[in-house]
Amino acid sequence: MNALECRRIQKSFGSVNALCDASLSVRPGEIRAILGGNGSGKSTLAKILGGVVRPNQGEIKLFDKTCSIRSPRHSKRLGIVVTSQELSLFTNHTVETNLLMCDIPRSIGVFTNRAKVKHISRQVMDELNLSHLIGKTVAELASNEQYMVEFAKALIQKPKILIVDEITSALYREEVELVKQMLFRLKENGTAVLFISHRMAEIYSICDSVTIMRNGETVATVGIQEKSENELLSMMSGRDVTDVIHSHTGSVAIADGPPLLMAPQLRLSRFGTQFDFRVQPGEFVGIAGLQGHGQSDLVRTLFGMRGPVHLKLEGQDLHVSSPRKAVAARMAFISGDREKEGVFSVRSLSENLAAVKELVIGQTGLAADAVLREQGVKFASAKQPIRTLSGGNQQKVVIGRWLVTNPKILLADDPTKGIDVQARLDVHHMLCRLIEKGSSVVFVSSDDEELVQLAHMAPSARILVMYEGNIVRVLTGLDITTENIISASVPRGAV
Amino acid sequence: MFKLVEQQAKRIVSVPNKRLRWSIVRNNVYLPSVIASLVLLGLGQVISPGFADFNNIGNILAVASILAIAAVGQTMVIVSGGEGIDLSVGAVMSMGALLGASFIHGEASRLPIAVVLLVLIGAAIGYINGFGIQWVGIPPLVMTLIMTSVVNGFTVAYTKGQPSGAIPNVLLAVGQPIVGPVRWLLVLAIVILVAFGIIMNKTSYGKRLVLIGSNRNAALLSGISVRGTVTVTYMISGVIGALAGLILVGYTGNAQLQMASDYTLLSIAAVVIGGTKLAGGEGTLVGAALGAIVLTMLTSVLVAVGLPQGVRELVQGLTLLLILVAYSRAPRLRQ
Repeated sequence: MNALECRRIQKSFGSVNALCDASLSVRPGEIRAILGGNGSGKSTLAKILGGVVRPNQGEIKLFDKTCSIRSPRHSKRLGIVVTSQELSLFTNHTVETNLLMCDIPRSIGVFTNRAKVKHISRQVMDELNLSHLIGKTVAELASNEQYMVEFAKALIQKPKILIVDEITSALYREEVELVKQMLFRLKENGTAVLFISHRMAEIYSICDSVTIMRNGETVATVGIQEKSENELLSMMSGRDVTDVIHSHTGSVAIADGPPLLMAPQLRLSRFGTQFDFRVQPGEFVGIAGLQGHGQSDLVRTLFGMRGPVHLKLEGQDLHVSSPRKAVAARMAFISGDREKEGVFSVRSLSENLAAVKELVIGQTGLAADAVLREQGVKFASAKQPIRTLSGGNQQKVVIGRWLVTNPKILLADDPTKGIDVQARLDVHHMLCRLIEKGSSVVFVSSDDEELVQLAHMAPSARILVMYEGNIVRVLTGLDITTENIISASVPRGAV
Repeated sequence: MFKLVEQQAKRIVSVPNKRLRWSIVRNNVYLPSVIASLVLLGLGQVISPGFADFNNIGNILAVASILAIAAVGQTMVIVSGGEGIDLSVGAVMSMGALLGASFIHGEASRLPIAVVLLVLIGAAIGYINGFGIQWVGIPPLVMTLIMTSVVNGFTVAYTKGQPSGAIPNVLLAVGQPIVGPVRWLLVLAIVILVAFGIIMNKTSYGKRLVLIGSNRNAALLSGISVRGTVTVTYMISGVIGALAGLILVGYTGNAQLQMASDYTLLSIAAVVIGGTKLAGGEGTLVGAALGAIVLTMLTSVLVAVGLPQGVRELVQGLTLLLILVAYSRAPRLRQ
């Protein structure tokens, strides 16, 4: 009997296929790791099982009974509990209220039974060595403690199927050990666990088997002892990954001379990490890593969106306290979230294009039609509202908005997310032309292949790989390959 | 009228081609108001012969002009987005009427100084609104509602509730006819509308305003000064409100406490009827002016029907509700 069986699950969001063929089955008492890179479909699968999104196709069986999971509530009733990276806690409430939020004990049916709440939460928190947290509100806790509370909340619900989505990346070693022990206890009671993590050491010490996902497909399921780390990583990337990064003296040059931008002791406040960051003139700097490891924070901090930051631009001291200051210093920022941070959707193409050049820098005389044609935007009239264009063309207009200002440095936060292949290539060419003119580009992408392509198009390039808010590896020259990026994104060995 | 509005909304929804749909929306945004005005005019003439003669139309346009002026500020605030709305317009207008009358104190020569003082006070009120909303983070709805009671209190405290002497002829002239149904008020309203139309469409401030209203995050990331621009917009609304109060006193010939409190709701309704989306980012002053005419016509027709005041206000309120429902529904359906 299988606790959980998914057969050929398919899910698309618009034109994007998040899952195209996901199948797996887990026995009761099995701890299964799910391993996959960015966009491989792990989170979508977790969301489907949690009832947050509904699949387009496919069959889900729980304990050999076919069921369609209609809502998060329904999912809980079926015995599925998901602990997610985005915590499901109410920060202004106490730990014990949060722990029992899903099933608050009642007296006479209406009143909260506080004694029982205390009792149940104390039991669980004792087991996790966290009883000192009882009585505090979640907002008062450190982030690792919050993750532990999230985990405790899942335990209290006595799951038949538990999905642990990257919870351990925020935890200390001793806490991971506790999580491991609790998972083993659940295992004895016959709970099936899906364990989503990037930490190889944890996967090897906790899990029985591993399912590898790539591009929305489950490519293989193997026993954990059957494969080495490198073999797993190769399956994850679809290519050979070796332990040692091959060093070549490459044709892709490393720029030297005085840097264009220096950010000494740049602090990422969300991670509490600090490092020096510099960009050479005319350089392409790709920022890689698994999603949510500080890539976006890096470019946003540089653009003054995370509070004041001290930079040196062309040797001059520059105090960037807001995006406005950054724009005044001829920095540019493109967000991948077009809807929220890019387009002025009800306004015309020409208004969208002129937003920075005319209204912030104060230069008039922008020939909108000519610029739009030059950027390869498919449009009928510069007066049409931008929302009538396709996503890719909208993004080209947004990029055009910055290109017409001749920025010294362009920061891009996954700007090609969710746009079609042709538009993506157009965007790459736009950026390359900008680099040819002497500007530098700092480019965050969740698509490693894209970074490699761009790096090889630029005259000089570096790829920085980030992990938990730090730059863990710098790739240059012929070392810039997707295999090396993936290998550096998933740290191995010590937890 | 509501049927028309709904049909309009349905047509907008059902046209498949995006570009075609856009052109229809664009060309027809004023059409419902124009047709509604004409229908109401005909209805009034049927109910009460003489409704459509020059003198009465002149009256209606004069009253509508005051509302249209008040709606200029409201339009700009609503266009600025971020749930922007100015509920203090009515109170500021009442204040403008009473303080204006009191500053002038029956002497025409003191009109310029009264105007200057009202501009300063209106700007100060708008600045406080903008500061509370942009720097302190109070929602516009709450901030401007609080401002309403502050301004009302200030007005009572300043005037001590006393009437303030005669209104000079030069101010009363705003209600005088020039030719046919055209009165000075109408000319004044057109001048103000054209001036602010230019400000909204041609100046850098106006261009920033619509972009901020369309997408505040994108505006911030583009380096546009969001706080400054939005605050200036509330200041404009304050200044226009105060001056509209002065104009109102010129038309009615006397100033009373809270005489313009209805203008808050009416100005919002006029803006919405004029096709401005409450979500912000787009909207026209011409639309708001047409909305003002529709609303004034509606009141006149209800008066002509001869309903008792209570019933009239009930019908008026329900009508406004229906109009807001019809217009607010359209954009959501279109997405």
